[in-house]
Amino acid sequence: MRATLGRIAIVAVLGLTSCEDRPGSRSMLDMRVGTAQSSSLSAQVKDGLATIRAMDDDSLWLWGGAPLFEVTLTWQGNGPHRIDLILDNALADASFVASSNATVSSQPNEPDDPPTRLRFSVDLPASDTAQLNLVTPDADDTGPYRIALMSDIQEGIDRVHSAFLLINDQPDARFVLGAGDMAISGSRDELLAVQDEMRALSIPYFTTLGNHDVHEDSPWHELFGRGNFRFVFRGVQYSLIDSAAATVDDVAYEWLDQWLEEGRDRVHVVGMHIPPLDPIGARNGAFGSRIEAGQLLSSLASAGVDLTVYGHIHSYYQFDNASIPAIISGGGGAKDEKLDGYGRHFVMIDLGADSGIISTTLVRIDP
Amino acid sequence: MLLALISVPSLVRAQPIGPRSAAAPSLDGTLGAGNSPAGDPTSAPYPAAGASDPASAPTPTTRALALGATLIPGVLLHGSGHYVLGRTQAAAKLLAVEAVGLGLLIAGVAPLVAFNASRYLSRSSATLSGLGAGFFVVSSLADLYGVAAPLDSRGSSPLTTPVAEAELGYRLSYAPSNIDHLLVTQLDLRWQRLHLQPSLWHAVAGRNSRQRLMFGYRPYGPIPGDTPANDGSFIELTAAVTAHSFPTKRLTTITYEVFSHGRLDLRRVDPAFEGMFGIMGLGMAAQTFHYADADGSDVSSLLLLRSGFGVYLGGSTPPHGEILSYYDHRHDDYAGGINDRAIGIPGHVGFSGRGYFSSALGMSAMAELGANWITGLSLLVRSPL
Repeated sequence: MRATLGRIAIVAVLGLTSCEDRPGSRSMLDMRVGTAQSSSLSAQVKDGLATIRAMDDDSLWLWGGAPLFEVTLTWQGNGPHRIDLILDNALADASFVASSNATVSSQPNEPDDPPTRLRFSVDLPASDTAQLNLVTPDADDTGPYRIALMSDIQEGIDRVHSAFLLINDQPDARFVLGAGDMAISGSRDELLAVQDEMRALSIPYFTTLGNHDVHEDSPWHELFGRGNFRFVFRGVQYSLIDSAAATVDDVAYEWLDQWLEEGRDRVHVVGMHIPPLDPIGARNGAFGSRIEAGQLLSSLASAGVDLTVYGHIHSYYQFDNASIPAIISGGGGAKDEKLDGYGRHFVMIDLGADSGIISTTLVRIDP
Repeated sequence: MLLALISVPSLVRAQPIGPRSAAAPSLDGTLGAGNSPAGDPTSAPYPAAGASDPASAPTPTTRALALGATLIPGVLLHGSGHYVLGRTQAAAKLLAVEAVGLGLLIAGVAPLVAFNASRYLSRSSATLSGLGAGFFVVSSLADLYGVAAPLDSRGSSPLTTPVAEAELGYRLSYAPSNIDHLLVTQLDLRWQRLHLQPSLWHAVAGRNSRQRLMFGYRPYGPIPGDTPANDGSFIELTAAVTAHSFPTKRLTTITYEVFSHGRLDLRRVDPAFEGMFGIMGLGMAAQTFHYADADGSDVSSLLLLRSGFGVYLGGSTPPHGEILSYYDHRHDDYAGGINDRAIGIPGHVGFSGRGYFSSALGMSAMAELGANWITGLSLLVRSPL
């Protein structure tokens, strides 16, 4: 109790100089992701794994933050009701399965819909709650599959199209995993421009945020969702952490502790934007506190994490931290680290619940 | 750099080095190296602590104007305050130091930007920009203090060091996810030019413990004994090992370092800077991370860089002391590097002060802001000077 009071007092003092975009504020925003209420309809996305872009009594527009998630819809009207549901940033073969008191049916896409958009109509029961589970045909397959790792688009937004087309060409790739910094300053215009470019992708892009994606009034959470989240796909757990301030918020650490425990018996990939330790130590493109960095890595090692992925440093590094294989891939188009010979790139990761991390392959975007 | 300033005074048009004299020079802007016979160390023109020159003492209005000038245009043109006081040579020297700082800063930042933090250039870039920032800040603070503090209120450094000094203190370390109360014990033992400094920081709750052993050699500057130094300026070369264990986090880090650092009493640069000093240090370290649940360890290099500006309080006999503001590029200690918008790249800033009430007893206080806050007080017990 005494320690808590002391912390409150110190936080109160520090709060005088705090900024809206501090990591603690973002953790609070994380908790609000995936919840909305209209006059007669309420929606709740479990664990905030999708953002509710818009909602009224007749329609719901979601932006997926994970391949699979669960939505709870409560219709408070007197009679049964049909709503239109649009899901963006989804696997093309995904579909919703409804609880027994509701029905969901896929609807055809419109001609200018991107490949990662799905349309549904949902029939809800009167004055009742229904659940929708997003599923894929391979959700229970524990065999190997592929993901692409790409971060730090920033100034490369105008030429990211070619990178996305190259990702589309990668066989068996299920989704892109992002370690942040899609934008330069995190303005709405920039983030919407990235979203517009993502229409070229045939697979969804699930990403945490980076230091360039946020500012005091950043619309990140409104557009792309949580900075701290985890999901499981085909038996592999992905835990993404907001390290955009070169530290991790204490609330996020509490979540991470739970997720590490959940993932102890799974193949587990942990991603964040700023790495705890920079392979070039004197540069310190890393956590401000080496103590915090070491403690975080110790937690990951204790939980048997299988792979760590980072962005922030605009190059490619493959190394170990706390004996866990680590990749820094910051080649999405941001001003690249000179003299390193890498340039724009992404990384293909072959992995599976049965096989673990099979391989990682650097793919150069520019010939 | 500091070595150059100490050993080649002509680089900065310094006064001849000699014991402090009670003769107070005029500070009306005509003072310079030519005010004393060149090469005559016995008639050095340094004003003694406590000395003043009523004839040239600025009026309150002039001093107020000078204080304003340290901000506008002093933020950009260091030395503006001294210029308003009529200390034109001192002003020019501050401007020159600022220019050196800016030059180093640009020399460091330019390749960092041009090569986008290349792994091959980041170490030299960080070093240059850190040193440059140090010069820049020192010239700014020297202008401010030189204008704000009348000469007769300035302090001076003891000219010898104690053979032994013990420190017992408390530190509060605040991290967003953790508060630690730490007991600090440290011993400084000096024999001639050698320096041994073991220390222990121990969290009361037992969550972490830091042991450090530093060995130093001081080729120049105050040392124990009957031979006083010219002033507080010194150079010291150190090597240290620091082990920091976190039992509940199943982590131990060990840092091996070499560090050369020193202090320059700024009166060597100009008598108007009596009672002020600058510090600078540069070194390298390797930090190893040992995880209880990992087969291997991590090794990460550290750039060690420290610069600061300080002032002496009192004279060479008690009560006396000093206050220091500094930047420390370390990321491996309790404060670490500044996060949030600084995204962990810089180190931390801090203030420290120590004062002695008698020949044997004193107190020190410190506060640092990096990734974490740390502040505390210590009781100091030392052998006679």
